[in-house]
Amino acid sequence: MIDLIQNTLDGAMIGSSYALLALGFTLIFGTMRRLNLAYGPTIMAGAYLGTYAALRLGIGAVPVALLVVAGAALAGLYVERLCFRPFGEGAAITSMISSFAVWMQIEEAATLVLPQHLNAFPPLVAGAPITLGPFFFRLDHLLMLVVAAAAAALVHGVLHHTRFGLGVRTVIDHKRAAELVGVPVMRTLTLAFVLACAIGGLAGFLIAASEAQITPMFGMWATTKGLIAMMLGGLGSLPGAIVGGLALGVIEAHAQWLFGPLVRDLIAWGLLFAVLAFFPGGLLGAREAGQAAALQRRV
Amino acid sequence: MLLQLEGLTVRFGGVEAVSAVDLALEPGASLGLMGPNGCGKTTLFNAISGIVRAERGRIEFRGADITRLAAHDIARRGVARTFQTVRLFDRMTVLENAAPTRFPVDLRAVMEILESLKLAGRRDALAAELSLGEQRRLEVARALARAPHLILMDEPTAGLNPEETEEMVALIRNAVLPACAVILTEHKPGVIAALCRAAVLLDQGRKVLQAVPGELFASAAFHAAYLGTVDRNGISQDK
Amino acid sequence: MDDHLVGVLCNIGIISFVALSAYVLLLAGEVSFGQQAFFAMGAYAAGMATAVLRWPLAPALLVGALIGALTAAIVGRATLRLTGLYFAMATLAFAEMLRIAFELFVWQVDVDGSLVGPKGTDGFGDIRYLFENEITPAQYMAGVYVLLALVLAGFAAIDRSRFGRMLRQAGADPLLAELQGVSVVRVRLVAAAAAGALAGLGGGLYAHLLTYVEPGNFNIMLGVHSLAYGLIGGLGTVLGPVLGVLIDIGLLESSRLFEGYRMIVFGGLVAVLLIVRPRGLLDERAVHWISSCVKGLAGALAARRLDRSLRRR
Repeated sequence: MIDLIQNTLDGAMIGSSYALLALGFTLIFGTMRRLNLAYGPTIMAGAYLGTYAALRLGIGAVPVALLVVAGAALAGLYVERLCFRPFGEGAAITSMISSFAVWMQIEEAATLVLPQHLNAFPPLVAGAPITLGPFFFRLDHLLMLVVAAAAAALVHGVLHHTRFGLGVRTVIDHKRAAELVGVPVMRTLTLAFVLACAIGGLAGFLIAASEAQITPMFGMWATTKGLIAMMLGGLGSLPGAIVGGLALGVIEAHAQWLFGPLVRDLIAWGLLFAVLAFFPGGLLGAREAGQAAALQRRV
Repeated sequence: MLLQLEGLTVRFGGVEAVSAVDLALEPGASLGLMGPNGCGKTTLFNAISGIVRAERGRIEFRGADITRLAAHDIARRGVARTFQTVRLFDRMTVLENAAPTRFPVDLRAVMEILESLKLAGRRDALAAELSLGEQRRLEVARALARAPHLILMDEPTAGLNPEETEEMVALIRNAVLPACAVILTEHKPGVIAALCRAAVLLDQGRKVLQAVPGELFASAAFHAAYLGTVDRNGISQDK
Repeated sequence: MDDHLVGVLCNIGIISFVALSAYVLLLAGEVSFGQQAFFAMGAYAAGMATAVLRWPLAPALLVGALIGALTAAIVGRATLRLTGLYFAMATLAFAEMLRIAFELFVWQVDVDGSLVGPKGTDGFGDIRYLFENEITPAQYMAGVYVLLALVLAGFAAIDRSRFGRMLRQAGADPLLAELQGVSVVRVRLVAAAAAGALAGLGGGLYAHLLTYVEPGNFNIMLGVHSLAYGLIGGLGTVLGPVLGVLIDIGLLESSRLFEGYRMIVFGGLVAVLLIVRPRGLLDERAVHWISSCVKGLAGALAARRLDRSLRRR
C-alpha cells in the first residue's frame, strides 16, 4: 500500500514534466492542426546547447535553464520556417514527414557537437530527499512539480489574459474567422510555435537535470512521451495535455515498479494504441473528435 | 417506382437540413429540384447517395430499402452523381476518371460516352488540365459510364457561361436523359424547363410544391422561397 | 564485383521492399509509420524457420511474407477506420509495441550443440543459412533482385488492373471513390495486407543477409525512412520508392561523400524536396509527361519508319 502511494506520488511528479511536454506539443497541434515530430529533437538541441555551455563555461543551473529554453525556441523557429510555414493547411502529412527529416538533422548535429553517447547534465539541486512519514520526495522531483505547475499557470495566464493569448485561442478555434476579425494569424502561429518549443525546452531542462545526463536518444524520447501524453488527453486539448501527462507518469511509475522498464514502455505504447483504436478522441478530446467527424461528413 | 423517399429527415445538430420529404420517381423520369441556397438540395442528394445518414424516414431504390446502406453499396446498385463544385480525380487521366471500377470495363462503351460528351480527344489529358466546362462534362461522362439507373446532378451548369450552359443542356438532353432517370438541382429556371417534366420546390428542408416547371415558376411559393414574402412592413426575409 | 558493392546493392534491394510496402499504403491514402513492424515479423519468422526449424530458405521467406500479411490485416482491421495523423500514430504505436515485444521474446533451441534463436534484447544471431548452403553474396543479390523485379512487375500489372485504379481512387479522394462504388475500407485492408506481405518478405531477406538482427534494427527510424523514400522518389510510379532508396543508400550512405553528416544532408534534402515537389521527383505529372513523351517518340519513330518504307517503294 505504501509502495502504491509512493509510486503514484513519484509518477505524478515525473508526470508533471510529461504534462509540460504535452502542453507544448498540444499548443503546436492546436494552432497548426499538424504534428511536429521534431518537437523532441528541438528540445534536445536546447539541452545540448545548455550542457555544452555548462561543460565549457561552468555556468550554474539557472543560466543553463535559460540557454536550454532559448536554444529550443531557436531550433523551433528553424523547424517552423522549414517544415510548417511553406505548406498550406491541408498538408498535415507533408509537415509531419518534413519535421521528421529535420529530426534526423538535429540528432546528427547534436552528435557532431558532443560525440560521446552519454553527456553529463548539470543537476538542478543536490541534497537528501525529504521524508514525510513513510514517504520520501526527491528534491529535484519536487522542484520539477513546482516549476511545471508554475509554467502551466503562466501559459494559462498568457492564453487567457493577453492579446496574444486571445489571438492564439481564436486561431485554435477557427483560423479563417480569426483572420477575418483581424488577428495577425501568421505571426500568432509562429509565436505560438516558438512559445511551445520554449515550454518544451523548460520541460526538457527539468528532465535532463533530474537525470543529470543527456544522450542523443533524448529527442526521440521527448517526442514519444509528449506524443503519448498528448494523445491520451485528446489531440488539441490543453487541459487534456496536463491530464494525459500526469496519467502517463503515474501509469509508467507503477508499470516500472511492477514489471521493469521494457514492459513500462510496452504498456505506454499499448495504451496509446488502445486509445486510438477505441476512443480516437482521447480522454478529454471528445469535442475535437466530434469536429473531425463533422468535417468528414461535409462534402 | 425507381426511387421513393418517405418522410426523409436529416438533422445536423439542431438544424433539420431535410425534413419529412416525400418523393417518388419513375424509371427514366427527370425531376428538377429547386430552392434557394441552403434549402437542403445537396443534403437530400447526400442522403440518397449514403454520405449522410437519415435520422428518420426511408429511402427505397428499385424496390429495396437502401436507407442504411454504405455509399459504395448504393453506388453499385446504380446511383451515380455529380457535384456542385466539380470533383474529379485530378491526377488521373480523363479515361481513368471515366472508366468504371466495378463492372468489367467495356472500353469501347466508355469511349462512346466520351465521344458523346465531346471528350474523346482529351482521353489522355489529366483531369486537372481540363477547362471547367470539360470537367463538368467529364463528371457527367463518369456518371454515365457506370450505366446507372439514376444520376443525381448537382447544379451541372454552375459557373458556366450562357453558351456553355446551352451546350450542357443539349448534352444532357441527348446523352443522359435517354439513358437513365435524373434528378437535377438548378437555380436557372430555363435549364429545368428544358430538361424536366416535373419540378419540386424545396424551402428550408421542406418540400413545398411539386408541379410542372412552368406552373412552379409562376407559383407564389416559388417567389416567396427565392425572394421572401412581401407584407405590410415591406420585404421580409423571415419565412 | 567487390564485396562492398554487392553488400550495398543487396541492401538497396532489400530496403526497397519496405519502401514499397509504405508506398502501397500511400497509394491507398494512408500514411503508416509502422511498416518496420511487418519487416521485423518477416525477419524473425523467416530467421527462426531456417535457423531453428532448419527449413529451406524459400518456404521460410514465404512464411515471413504470410505472417507479415496476416498481422497487417489484423492491425488494419483495428486501425484502418482512422485516417491521417491518427492512423500514422496507431501504426507507430503498434510497431513500437512489437519492437519491445521482441526485446522480451526469448526462444532458444539447441541446434547441433549450440543455442539458436531470438534472445530478447541481445538479438537473434546465427541465421547462417547462406553460409551453410554455400550461397555466395553475389548469388544472394541476384535472388533479391529477381524477387524485386517480380514485385515491380506485379505492381505494373496491378496498376493497369481494376484494383489498381480502385486503390488510387481510394487514395486520392475516398469519398468520391465510395460514390464510384469502391469499398474504400476493403480496398485499404487488401492494400495493408499486401504491404505487410512485402515488408515481411523484405524482412526475411534482410535477416538472412545480415545473419544477425536485433529489435533495435526495427525502430521508428526505419519506418519513417521507408515512408520518406516514396515521398522523395515520387508517388507517380512504383519506381519512385526504389529511386528514393537509391538516392539515400546508394548515393549518400555508400559514397561516403557526406561521412559524418549524412543525416544532415538527407534530412535537408527531404525537407527542401517536400517544399519544391510535394509528391516527389517522379510525381504523377512527371510520369504522365514522360509517358506522353515516350508515346510521342514512338509515334514519331513509327511515322519515320513508314515514311522510309514508302520512299523505298
